[in-house]
Order: sequence, then C-alpha cells, then structure tokens
Amino acid sequence: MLTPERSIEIQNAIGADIIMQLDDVVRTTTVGPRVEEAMHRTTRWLDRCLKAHQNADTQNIFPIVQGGLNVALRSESAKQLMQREVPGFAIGGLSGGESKNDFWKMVHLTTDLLPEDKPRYLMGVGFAPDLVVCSALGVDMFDCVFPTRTARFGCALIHSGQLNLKQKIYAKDFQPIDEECECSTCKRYTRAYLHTIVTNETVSCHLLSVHNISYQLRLMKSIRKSIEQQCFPEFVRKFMANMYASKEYPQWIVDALLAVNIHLDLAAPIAEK
Amino acid sequence: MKFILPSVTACSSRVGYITDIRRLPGLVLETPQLLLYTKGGSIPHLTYEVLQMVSKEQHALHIPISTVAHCHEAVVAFGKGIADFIGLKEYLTFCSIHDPAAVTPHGFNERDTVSIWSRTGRKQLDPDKYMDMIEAFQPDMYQSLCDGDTNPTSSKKRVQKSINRSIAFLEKCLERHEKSEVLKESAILGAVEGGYSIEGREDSAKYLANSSVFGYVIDGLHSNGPDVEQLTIEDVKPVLEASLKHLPNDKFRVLQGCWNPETVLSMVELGMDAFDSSYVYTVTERGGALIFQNSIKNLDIPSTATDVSYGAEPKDGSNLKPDTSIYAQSSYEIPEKKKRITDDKQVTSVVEEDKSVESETQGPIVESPEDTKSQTTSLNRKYEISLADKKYAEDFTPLSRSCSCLTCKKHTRAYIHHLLQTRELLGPVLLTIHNLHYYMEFFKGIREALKSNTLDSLRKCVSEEKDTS
Repeated sequence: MLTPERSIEIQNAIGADIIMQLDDVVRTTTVGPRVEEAMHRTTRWLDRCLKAHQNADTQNIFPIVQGGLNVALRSESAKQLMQREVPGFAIGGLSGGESKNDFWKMVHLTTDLLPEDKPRYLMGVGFAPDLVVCSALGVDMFDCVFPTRTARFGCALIHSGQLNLKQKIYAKDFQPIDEECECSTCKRYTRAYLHTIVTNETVSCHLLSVHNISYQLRLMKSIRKSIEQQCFPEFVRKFMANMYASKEYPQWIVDALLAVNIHLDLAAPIAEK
Repeated sequence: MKFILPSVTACSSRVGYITDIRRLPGLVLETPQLLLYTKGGSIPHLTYEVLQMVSKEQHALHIPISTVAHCHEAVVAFGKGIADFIGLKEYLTFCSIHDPAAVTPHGFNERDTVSIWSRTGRKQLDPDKYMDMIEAFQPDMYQSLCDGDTNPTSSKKRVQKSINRSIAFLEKCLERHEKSEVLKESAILGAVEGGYSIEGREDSAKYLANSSVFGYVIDGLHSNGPDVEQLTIEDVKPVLEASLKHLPNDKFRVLQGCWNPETVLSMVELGMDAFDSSYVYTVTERGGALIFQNSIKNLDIPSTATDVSYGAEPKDGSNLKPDTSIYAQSSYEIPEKKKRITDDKQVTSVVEEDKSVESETQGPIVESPEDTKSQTTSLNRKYEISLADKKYAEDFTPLSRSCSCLTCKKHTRAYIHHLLQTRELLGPVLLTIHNLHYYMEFFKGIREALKSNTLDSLRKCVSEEKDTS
C-alpha cells in the first residue's frame, strides 16, 4: 500500500521536474459520502506530501483537485488546495466513465476557481476534440495514453479522426497516413505497407506512435499559435468542422464552447479540403 | 550487377564486393557480407529512422518470401517493387524462400511444388507462382525455387528428390527470368542441394556449375529455426566442402540460417560470401545481448564489470516484485522449446505465431506468460548474456564496454533488464540496436582479418570463454 510519504520518497528518487501529490480518487460514477471523504483526504494527503517532499527547490509538486461531479465538493477541494503554497494545480477525478456533459462542466468550474498565474494540468485527457475544448476552457497541460495505445492497436490519428489501418480498404492505399504530416513515418511509409504490418510487427507500433505523437504535438502547437495570433475561435471552428464533417457536433462540445463564448458554425458548411 | 574478387589467393576464404547495380548507382557491398534479416519487410523492431542510428552505411536486406507473401497483391498494384513498398528503397534487396528464424516443417514439398508458411497459412508454390511473386517484388537478387527439405537423417530417396526437383525448378525459373522485362537487372542464384550426401552435393554442384546463374545458395543443410545455432562446423564441413568443390570460384555464395559466430567464421574460411542476420533476431527474442569478442582490436578491455553489485538486497522487502515473470529465474533451462510445428503430417496450415509480438501489441503488460522465449544452453551462453536474469537488476554497466552503439552509450544492463521485466517494446528495440550493431562490427572484423591474414587471431578471440556472470 502506498502512503503519501512513500509516494514522495519514490518521486524524489526518480527526480522528475513535476511530481504529483498522492490523492484519494474515486470513480466519477460514485455518489454519496465516499466522494466527500476522498476530497478531504486528498487535502490532508497534500499536506503530508508537502511535508515529506525533500527537493522543493528542484521538483515542483502539484496538488490534484478532486470532488467528483459534485459542484460544492469540487469547489471546496479547489479552495482548500489553493490555500497551500504550490507551483501549479492538477485537475483529477475526471476522464473516467462520466458523461461528457458532466465532464466539461467540472473542468470549467475548476479552471474558473484556480489561480490565473499557475499552470492547470488536466490529467488523462485525451482525444483531440477534448484537447481543443479544454484548452478553450483554460487548461494548460494534458497527458494521455491514447495516442500511443491506439497506435499499438493499428490506428493513426488525422484531422478528421482516426484511420484503422487494419481495415482492408487500406490494402492498396499508397498515400502516407497524412499528406501534410512531416513526421518520419509519413515521409517514408504508405498506408498500404502499414496495413500489412499492424498488429503483426512491432515496427508498426513504433511507426504509428511516432505519427500519433507528432499529430498531438502539432495540434497543441496550432492551438498555441492561434491563441497568440488572436484567432483561436476561428481555429476551433475549423478544427471541429474537419472532425465532424456532417456538422453534427456533439452537444457537449457546442455547450462547452458556448460557455467561453466560442460559437461553432452550425449553419453554412465550411468548405472541406 | 557484378561480383568482384580483387585477388586470387591460395586459401579458400576471400574478400570481394558487389557493385554495379543500376538501380543503386554507387552502392558497393563488401563481402563477406551480412544481409539484414527482415520479417514482413522490416528489420524486426527497427524502423528506418532507428536503423539509421545503428548504421548509416549501405546494406542489403534479406527478405524471405514467406514473410511477405501476403503483400503480393498490394505490391502488384503498387507497381514499383518490394524495396519501395516497404519504405527501404535505398537498400539492396535479396529474396529467399523461407524464414531462417522459424522452423520449416518437414515433408510438405511435392514433385512440382514447395510449401511455404505465410501469414495466411501454408502456400504451395510451383515455379510459375514463385516467379509471379518475384516479378512483382523485383528484388535485386533472389534464389531460384528449390527443395531443401533435407537433414542429416534424410533417406537417399529424399536427398535425390531434393536434387532433382531443385534442378527442374531452376530450369523453369531461369526460363521465366530470362523472359522477364522487370528482372533484367536482377541476379538469380541457384541452390546447391544434396542433404548430407557427399556424392549428392557434388552432383548438384556440377550441374549448377554449368548454369547461367549469378551465384549460389548452399541449401538443404537444415530446416531453419533457432536450433541452427547449435550446429558446429564439424557438423557441416564435409558437405559444405563437397558443395563448393565443383563450383566456379568467382561466383557469389550465400549460406542462410541462424548460425553461431564461430561456425560463421569457419564457413567464411571455407569460402562463403554472405549470411543473413537472423541470429541477431533469435538472440534478441530471448532477451540476449551479444558480448563475444567480435574483433581483434579490443583485447585489452576487460570483459566483466568490476564496479557492480550483484543481486543487492533492497532495504526492505516492500518494493520487490513477486517473482512471477519467467525472466526472474536466474538459470532457467527450457526442457524443450515449444515447437511451433510438429512432424505430424496432419498439419496442413499454420498461422504464424509470434508470441512476443502478440503480447506486446496487446497493450497491457502481461505478467507470467505461459510459454517462454528464454532459451539458454551452454553453447549460446558463451556469446551472449541473458538480460532477463535478475542478477542484472542493479548492474549499471553497459551491455558491452567495448561497444559504441547507442544502447551501450546511453543505457545500462539494469535498465534493459527492467524493460524486459515490464515487457516494454523498448527492450527488444535497444537489444536489437546493440546486437545488430555488434554483429555488423563482427563482419567488419571478419573482412579486416581476411585482408590482414589474421583470421586465426579473430577466431581465438571469438571462441574465448567469456565470464558471463
């Protein structure tokens, strides 16, 4: 069993630049007193982690906001954690099995409460549309196993979603995964060849991982660029139009973006490349 | 394409080079050469990018037809040959029939066909079907269809069949080869058969000496698979010499299979020009790292680490993983390696199994696999260390102190051990980088030793019993 002290001891040994408190996290679908218990315990454990932390000068410790899907509990968690002197904050307890509708509301609530001048790290997100929406909601950092895991299962990420390269339709498709992608996989390998090796040769895991990570990094770069150039809402519109070609945007995305004043183009279709 | 032997010497070993390949102007491959073993068109575990980290030099790829047969239709549609299809068009391509790293089952060849085991099951190839594939793949070099289903215990009848059928197959393949537009620049090799019959070998070689092939594969000595590592030169010398005796000296000779380094050296001495690197693959798959003395140069570097603590007990027992993984047992001996195929003739089709790939690509880490890939015998313990052994858990030295590969420059035995324990894909990648680099250096060492007449010294180094503890 891992204690807060032991967790910090291990993380001190590993030497990462950013380390995480040990939190008590419950399933998003959990209701009842357990959620509140976990929220309070997370705060107590934060204090124990801060006390045990040996390398405050070289390793940044982030607390993790909990509270499940409960507005009061989540707000309380954020407030409590903000009373401690820490270099950044993580938003936890989400991206489990909850509905996207609940998910975005909790992210939005938490980013509204957390200080403006410290990084906000949303753990376990995610899929490209989620990255875009949560960036709009004020999140700064993300992590996710998705791009590399889906790569190992033979799926490549592109602007309009995913290519499942196991499918026979790619057997004679001699294009790269993405014509515009500059990664080493797309420069040299075709969908057709990848189709022959996915799930059979480990090389396919590596080639697709490289592409998918490249895709994610490019996505984040475009997000940053469009924010700097003051055209982020336009970027979001274009992105969503590519992702949901039929303009049938998931309602939660429409709602979440509306909450931060970004309107998706629901009327006239945007010309697709 | 030309195979050039600059000088004629009294001894049978030779250095030479392959050059004048129209498709790859400027490519010069020195012999004895290591053809890079591929599976499904890629060197196992290495993307093109990572291959550049192992070597930026020119190489030839060894592409067994059985591992790319399922690509036939796609390559036909592609129209530009296998080298381009697999994303490696800068490399010379050599097509063989069977996968040297996997056992080829006995008894499935017929008068007009040879059986191969592809991804989609057993396929029977006659010369026309075989040449259809070759014409689609357009390799720079390839072997003729042949029947090499012989071993030391084969009957006279079987041996004779393998010789006769291979001759018939060669005639048909040559016919197609000469008619073919797309194979105009490709080189075809004939197969010397004859099992373990001296007379058979000489007959086969005499026939081939009169044919218009570019060179020869010495075939029929084994049925592929990792067990070939156990063969020594004593096992094959008589039939190898008999095979070479009547062949013209100036043609290219290839010998395929997972031979161990000492046997390779001896076969170089007898006059072989090229081998494939399937041995590198089989060593990697069992978590082995090559550490035998692969060149004369590094004699002074000690072979064992002096600043390491073995099996240090952790301060408290709480961070010890339970020893459920097979890799946690130190001197693990497999009583019998699980056979993929048996001699049972009821086997008519087999789906290719590669347990290490299956479990790795399924994502979640699997704790104790039912069957194992670890195989150490007293013979191969000599050339490699077994990184799965828990004595490496806190060994912070590189795999080999004399090696300049990326793995040895950046990583430790402890880290590789950890990667194998947790079944991370990076484990086989780092091991392949090391093992392939190491074996390429071995071949460089062979060529240098031949040029400087120091092959005996090299052999002494390679056969030295390493302290692999």
